[in-house]
Amino acid sequence: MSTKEIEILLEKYFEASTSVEEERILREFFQRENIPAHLKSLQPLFRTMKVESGIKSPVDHEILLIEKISPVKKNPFYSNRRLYWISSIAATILLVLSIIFLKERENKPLSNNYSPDEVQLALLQTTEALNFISLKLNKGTSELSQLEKIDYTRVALENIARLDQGMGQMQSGFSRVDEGLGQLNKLSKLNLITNQ
Amino acid sequence: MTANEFCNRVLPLQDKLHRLALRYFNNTEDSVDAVQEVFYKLWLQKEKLDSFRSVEAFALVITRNHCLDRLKAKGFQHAKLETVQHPVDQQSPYRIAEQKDELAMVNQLLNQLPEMQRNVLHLRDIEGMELEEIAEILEMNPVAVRVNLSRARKFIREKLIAIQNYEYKGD
Repeated sequence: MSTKEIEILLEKYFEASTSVEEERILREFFQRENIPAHLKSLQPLFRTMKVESGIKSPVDHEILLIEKISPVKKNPFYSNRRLYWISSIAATILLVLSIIFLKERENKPLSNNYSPDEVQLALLQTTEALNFISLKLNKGTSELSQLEKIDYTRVALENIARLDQGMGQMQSGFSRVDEGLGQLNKLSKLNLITNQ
Repeated sequence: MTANEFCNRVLPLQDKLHRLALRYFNNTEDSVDAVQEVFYKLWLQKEKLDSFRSVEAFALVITRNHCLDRLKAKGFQHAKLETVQHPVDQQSPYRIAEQKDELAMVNQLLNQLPEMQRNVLHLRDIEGMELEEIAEILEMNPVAVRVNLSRARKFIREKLIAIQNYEYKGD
């Protein structure tokens, strides 16, 4: 496009009567380096427009919007608590496993490395210990006899049930009193009539 | 409008809305905040968006209003819309020209325009919109848009010529 044509377009441009397409031609023209001296002053305008129209949002607003509208926000306390639970269960399992493992390692040498005498002694000691345990258990059983006291309490509770019976009797007594009062009332009314 | 349609038709406007907000705030941070709030507002009324002839025009109107409100709230302007000035410290365009920062210089000149003229120039020369579309967004008639556009362009031309002459004198 010749300089003359550009000048004509520029004239239209400043009267705001160029089309979008003509303005695009002008903008492209001014991106060049060798601009006629008398048009040079306008170059910053068209170059700036080109740059500015290429500016993009530095963030993705879709992500920002989703963040803003998502109803459930992640609760750090909740997830921490869950983490505690999981880690405590894991620790327990680890502890049990290591105890089983250690026991198994302890048990192995028992049958191999001890003399018959030692085994005998261990058996005796074990028997003694078991006896001791059964003795204590027996003592515990005798204390269970205290449970009999519960029976006394049950009897006492039965007495309370009798209260209910008494209440029933009282009620029927009251209703009879009521009846009697009604009759008295009638009598007094009769009295009144006869007086008149 | 469904969430899906919102993603396909409204969210792609983000660059355009960002550029418009940038005209008002002259900094990226405020512009991003503004556009974020605009999208939230649009999201809340997404059922209503179908009733507008142009969702884009409506989004631009919301952005403009939001920016003006924000500037008002910040106390940057106390007069009518027509005289909204930019909050940035007005550095002399001549000084900037000396620094050979073409972009900053032109933006400085754009900032000196009344809000209406600046908007018209922005929507036409940077967004390439038709005068009728601009008229709809700014609620003016197309003739008034043309007048404002012509004035804005001539103002910039005058200033640019003055700056060039100053530079020559300086050399």
